[in-house]
Amino acid sequence: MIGRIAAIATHTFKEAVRDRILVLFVLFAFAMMAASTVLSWLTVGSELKIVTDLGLGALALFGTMIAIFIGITLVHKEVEKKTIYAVLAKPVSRWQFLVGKYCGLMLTLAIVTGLMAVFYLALVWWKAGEFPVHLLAAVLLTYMELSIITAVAILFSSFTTPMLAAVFTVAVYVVGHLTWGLASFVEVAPGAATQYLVSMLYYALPDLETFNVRSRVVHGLPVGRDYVLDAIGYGLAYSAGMLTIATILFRRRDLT
Amino acid sequence: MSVVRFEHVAKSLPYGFWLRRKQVLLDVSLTVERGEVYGFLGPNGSGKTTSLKCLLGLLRPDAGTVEIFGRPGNDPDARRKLGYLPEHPYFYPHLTGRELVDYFGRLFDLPSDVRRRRTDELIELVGMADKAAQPIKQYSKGMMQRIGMAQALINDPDLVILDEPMSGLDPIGRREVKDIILDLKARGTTVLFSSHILADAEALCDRVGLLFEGKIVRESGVDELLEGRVQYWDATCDDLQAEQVPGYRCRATQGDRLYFRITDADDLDRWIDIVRQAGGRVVQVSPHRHTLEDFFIGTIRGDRRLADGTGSEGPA
Ligand SMILES: Nc1ncnc2c1ncn2[C@@H]1O[C@H](COP(=O)(O)OP(=O)(O)OP(=O)(O)O)[C@@H](O)[C@H]1O
Ligand SMILES: [Mg+2]
Repeated sequence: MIGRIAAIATHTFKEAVRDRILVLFVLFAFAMMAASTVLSWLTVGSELKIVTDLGLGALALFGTMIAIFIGITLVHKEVEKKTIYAVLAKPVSRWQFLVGKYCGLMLTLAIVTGLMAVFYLALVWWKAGEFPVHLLAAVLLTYMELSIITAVAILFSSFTTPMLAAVFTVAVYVVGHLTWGLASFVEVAPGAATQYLVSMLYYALPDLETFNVRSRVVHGLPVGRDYVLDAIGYGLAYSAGMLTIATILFRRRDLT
Repeated sequence: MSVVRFEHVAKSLPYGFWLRRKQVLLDVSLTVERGEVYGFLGPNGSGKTTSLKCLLGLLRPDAGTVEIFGRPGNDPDARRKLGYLPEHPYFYPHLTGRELVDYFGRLFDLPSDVRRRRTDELIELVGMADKAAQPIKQYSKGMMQRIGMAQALINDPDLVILDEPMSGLDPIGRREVKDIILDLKARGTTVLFSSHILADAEALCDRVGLLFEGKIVRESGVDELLEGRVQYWDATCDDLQAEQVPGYRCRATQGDRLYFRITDADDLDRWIDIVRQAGGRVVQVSPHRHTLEDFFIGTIRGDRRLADGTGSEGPA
């Protein structure tokens, strides 16, 4: 079982890294990080903050773009091109197929975020004069955010076209960064029913701000170990939930 | 135990903007026994591909059951010893033929040495040895079909399901696929293949099922269909005039050569006696057997005479 999932994951990974657009995204991220140093010269005193902030922002932005860009086509393309028939006629169950695809993209993202992180950390190191250990946690949390976005993209990809999947995933991404507001809205919401509804919505949508520690690290504050572990747990659990729903939907689907 | 079993399978598929459903399969029931080569025949659009997809769990039947090796078709474990060649196969264009076969070998959890050995053997078998290093996007239709055949056999299957295995192949390729099927049969592998080329089915199958408009309209052994089903004999004799063979209608004459068409074995015996007694010489008696083609067309037209081979007149 693990062997099959690994086979699908490596195949997905190999296919993804062949795409030149991936190189382009990474180069853009490098360019944006480099540009942040130029920008920082204009703001005397807070140079390091600017580089730290914008660099991490670029890493998250391009990571998200890659996750969505590849994620939304992963399942749909196989169905559309009919390459999936031969695969699912093997002793591969549908959940294994989805999980394999997911792991393949996560592997791709690990490499890509890894590259961007090396560039980013080197840049900050050069600016600060010492290795920014506290940023490792921030990079890791960004990767966990990507794991959720990937799972959401695959969920949508498993039943709709890339176009709609893109729209839905971007919507979840945007709303996901606003849900922390919902948590505080629960207390002040009028009526029990509304409160219930709002809290349901809060739990259904991912709270992506959990993974955003930029405001902390910019000021050189470390991110607590417990906080990181909680966030990783949340990311894994939420992704697993998304993949479970994806499997339920995909299992029922006719591959015509 | 049957290797493949369809029992009253029905399936509708959505079409059009409003996703209205078209009833593609009405009632498909058939069984394939161990070691058999089964021809799944039917005209275009009769539902062969749809049936096979239901069997493999790619489609969920609306009603009825499908089983492979006694397990439900959508159970992944049922597919461990199964090989499948999809219709008009399309594979990952960026992989080479060899990488593709190897990838599918991984999906069967085959150890790498077994994979390598079988991949080599199969690529050789399907005549792709010199093209296996090319990316699939450079393959022609027939090459795709060949590599598809190779991947269908990677796990040394006990059951092979081939959806139109000969389509897109040149005459040599067809011959080779036939040989592969016969070779599988000799090794006791069960083969279920769909086709509308009846001559292929006639040459390969133990049994055939005829699908028409989503229903199995006929299922029987090939021998049973063809054996002894001489439709008529074309009989020719020399050195006689038509009047010398009373009771038989002469179809044509050419000098003192007479041509007859006789539909009954006893009549033929009598005809030979009469010709010889009258001093004539029997030049030729050639039986015209029923072909699957007749069976096919006959059954579809609801023409029992043609379908059963009891017709008095063959095709002119
Ligand atoms: N995805 C689909 N959506 C709607 N209808 C479909 C779909 N695929 C096939 N059909 C319809 O189902 C019927 C059976 O199609 P199927 O492909 O099973 O036939 P077939 O016997 O394999 O034909 P062929 O010999 O041409 O391969 C056809 O009438 C076709 O129009
Ligand atoms: Mg077909």
